[in-house]
Amino acid sequence: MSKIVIHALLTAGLAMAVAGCSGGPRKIAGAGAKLPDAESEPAFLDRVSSQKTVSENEAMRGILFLINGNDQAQTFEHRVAALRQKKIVDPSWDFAASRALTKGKLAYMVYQACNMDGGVILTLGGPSQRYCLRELQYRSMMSPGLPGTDVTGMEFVAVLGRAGTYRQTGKFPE
Amino acid sequence: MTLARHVLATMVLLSAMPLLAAPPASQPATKEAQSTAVPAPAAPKGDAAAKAAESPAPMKVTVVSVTGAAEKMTLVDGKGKWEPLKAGEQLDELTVIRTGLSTTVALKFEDRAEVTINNATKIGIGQCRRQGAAVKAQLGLKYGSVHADVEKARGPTDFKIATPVAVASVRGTSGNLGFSGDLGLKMEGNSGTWALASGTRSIHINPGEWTNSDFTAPIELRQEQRDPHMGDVFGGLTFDEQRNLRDNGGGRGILGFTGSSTDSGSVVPSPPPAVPGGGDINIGD
Repeated sequence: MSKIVIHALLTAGLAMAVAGCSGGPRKIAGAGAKLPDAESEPAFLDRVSSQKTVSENEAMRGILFLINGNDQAQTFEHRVAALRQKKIVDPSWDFAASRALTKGKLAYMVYQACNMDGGVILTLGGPSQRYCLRELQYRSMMSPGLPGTDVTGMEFVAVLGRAGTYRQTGKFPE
Repeated sequence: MTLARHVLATMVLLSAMPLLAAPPASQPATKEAQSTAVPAPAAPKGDAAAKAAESPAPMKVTVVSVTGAAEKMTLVDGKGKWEPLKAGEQLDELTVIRTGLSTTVALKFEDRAEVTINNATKIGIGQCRRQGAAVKAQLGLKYGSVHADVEKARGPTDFKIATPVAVASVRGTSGNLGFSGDLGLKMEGNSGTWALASGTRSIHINPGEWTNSDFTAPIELRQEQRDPHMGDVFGGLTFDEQRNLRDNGGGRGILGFTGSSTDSGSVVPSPPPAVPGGGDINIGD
């Protein structure tokens, strides 16, 4: 009897683990949200720098500018798909176009976009918002703060600028 | 008594006449005023020529190179339109420049200064005028960073870069100045002395020193340095390595300069450049 219970528990645990791992695509709120068309990179940075917060939609445009030099995506859904394909966003995240970007998510995306080499935890456990933020703070690429803190427009522009410099030169700011 | 008052009033009026007639020296003349300026007919020719030489004239700023996406806007009556910035262009006063994430723009202020605008930067040229041998230029940095190299030997130069938290005055110096929304101001001197001022506070930055928005003394910032870099014992030292060696000392490492020591290190200058062709120099024969 006890063997049957143990087997059942193990099977249930395995099934839950598999279901949790596969996950499936998460819901995207505001999938059709758009941004100004034909916005150049300098114009985007200038506009965002004056904002109190940065939406996830705008943040993904900024990351696409960083890695591609342009943003061909028409909607938020397309941006998410493009960044998912490059493994710059975590597939387990839920996305909302108008939600404010947090430091943790920004750190994760910048860490992945720059192909950085992290410390022991990041190397063994893979990227996470918490440790990507700690790594970028250690590298003087981001200011102190918690992963759940909202990112201001000026901070977003500054971090993207440092990431751009790192991608060009391979050097962290002093 | 009444006569004395009249005499006094006449003397005051006469002494005030030149002040009323002359424009304020500190206020730069506008373009329209300059183009329509006519010398006073009663003034002798020599005086008019001297006056014209003394009045500040706009100085042209040339775009030496543009790498990546950059845009400019020249304000006319407070309005303007953003246009792509191209190499070889001449910029006027009241021009704003913004750059992208992988952009570098080099500007040349005639024979006086060279400014390199780095990526993700927005900067404006507020004033740029030459008066005889003296040059006065004022830039405004909203965000991003620039490298300024100002020539001192060609005459007096008043070159200022204003940021949201402080104004940096550059006189015969070179260095980097940056302002970001999260980490604030960072100014690093490469040569000469920078003067940084904000309200009543001020600080001077010498070569190899740097400071932040709080005007923290360079000696205190050095203590916060994270990890020193290794020096090259064979081929001379870069600027960063020289600065690190000066700040942290030479250490006792067997593989060059490991730093992080309280020992005072000696800076080894770079070796002289190699002779073209790699051969020995033969003198006479």
